[in-house]
Amino acid sequence: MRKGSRLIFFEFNRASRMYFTLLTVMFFTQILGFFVMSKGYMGQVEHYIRTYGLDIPAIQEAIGIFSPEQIIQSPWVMAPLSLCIVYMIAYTFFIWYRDWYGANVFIYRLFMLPVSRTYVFISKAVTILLMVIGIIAFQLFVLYIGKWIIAGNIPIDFRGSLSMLDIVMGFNYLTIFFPFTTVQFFTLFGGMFIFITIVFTAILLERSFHLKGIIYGLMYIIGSIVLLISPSITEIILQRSFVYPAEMFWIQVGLFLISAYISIRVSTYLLEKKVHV
Amino acid sequence: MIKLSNVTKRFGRKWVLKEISFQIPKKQITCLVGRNGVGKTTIMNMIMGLTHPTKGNITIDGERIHSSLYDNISYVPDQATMLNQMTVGDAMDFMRGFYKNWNDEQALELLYLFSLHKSDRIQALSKGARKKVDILLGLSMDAEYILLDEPFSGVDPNSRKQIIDVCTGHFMENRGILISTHDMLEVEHIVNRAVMIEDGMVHRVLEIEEDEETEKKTIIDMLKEVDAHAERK
Repeated sequence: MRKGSRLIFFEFNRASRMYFTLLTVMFFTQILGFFVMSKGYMGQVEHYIRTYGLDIPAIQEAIGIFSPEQIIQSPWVMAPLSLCIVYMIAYTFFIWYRDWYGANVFIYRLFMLPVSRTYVFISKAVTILLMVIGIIAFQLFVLYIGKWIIAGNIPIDFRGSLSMLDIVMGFNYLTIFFPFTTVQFFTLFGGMFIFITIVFTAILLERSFHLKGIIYGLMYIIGSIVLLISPSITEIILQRSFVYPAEMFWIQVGLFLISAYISIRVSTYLLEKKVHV
Repeated sequence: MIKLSNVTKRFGRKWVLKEISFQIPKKQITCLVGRNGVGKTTIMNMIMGLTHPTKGNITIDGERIHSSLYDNISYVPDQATMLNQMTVGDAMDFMRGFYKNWNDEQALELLYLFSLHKSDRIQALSKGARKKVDILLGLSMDAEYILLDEPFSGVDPNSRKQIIDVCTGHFMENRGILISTHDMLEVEHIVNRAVMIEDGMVHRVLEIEEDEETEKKTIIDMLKEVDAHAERK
């Protein structure tokens, strides 16, 4: 177990330079966005007051009140966040392939460690998950600072609600990445971990069978997704539900656990018997 | 003892090794000899479980390779394996963290013999120095078996001399060693056995002292004969 946590720390450390650079870019870009957009809005307000002598309700009617959603949906916030998302998707593949194709072939070292190769697999998956959780937590932290920047720059009459809940809701469909309850937290990150294990298994299939492995890997991903959404598909096809929502939730949890178990078992087999340096 | 029994390896349609069997006894130095591409590296990778035989089996002291055996068998591949961004000290810390047989005293001695420094960044090292780092990491474990893949090839003359000195010195005592090399001359006097690989098969296993005595030839002469035979074919 100690060696497993050491591997996680080691993997995280390898990723840290680029990861913290991205977080820094995200911080400064988004904070700058909060300043620029809130100041810009107040510039408009002042323009209406100076030029037309409008009172507060008239200005509110003319340019609307400032909603945090405007910043959230702007490139100031979305561009660095998208960059982080793209980086994490790419890193999910890169975390394996760099060990084979780097200047030095580190996969030799990883496979010769006196620990089960399952630990190597799990440590890489946990590292990705921790990085994603870190990005989400850091995004909330930046939003929290941004909230005070808005509050400092825009008087209360000209801005919408600045509760964290309302700010996060500004992400629209991306709101699913911000869990509000403990159940949501475990569902989201548990699901994410399982998805990472599915992708890793596909990567190991490619590493084991090369060209044929790409096909096996794609089939594995499609098969896993079909398994995971099979209860919903069944309901859609039959146009009726056979279970209560709570039962459906537990069925879904069960399927996720089965999928994780299969992925880890298949990957362990591949790592022990098929994958080569 | 490391035992290879009827090991066959196929990559795609190409049969690299065909039914090879030989042993690497404890406390002896076995040399794997053969031309480039005959499968010497594949044999070493298979012993270490880094690639898998198509047929046959390999055992280390009667057990098939598994993770806990890596404390007892050390491999220095022909390629650099440690990360570029690491320093030599980081690489040593990495090994110390995972291997219970890591021997710090031995590592420091090798560091000195190879004129390396803990603060040296691997990225900044020459090819020869990187090889020395890998040899340092491999030989600093109190492992019963050590596998060295072409330890003298592709390095500058100075590094080569240092590596030869280390590979023929006390670091190799009381261990089962498998060494693959083109430079039999350099290791001739320390090798106990030579396994000659040709056309993916074991062409001959030489017990150096005995065979030199019976055939009245040196190991080098015997290897030359094998080479000439291969060329005629």
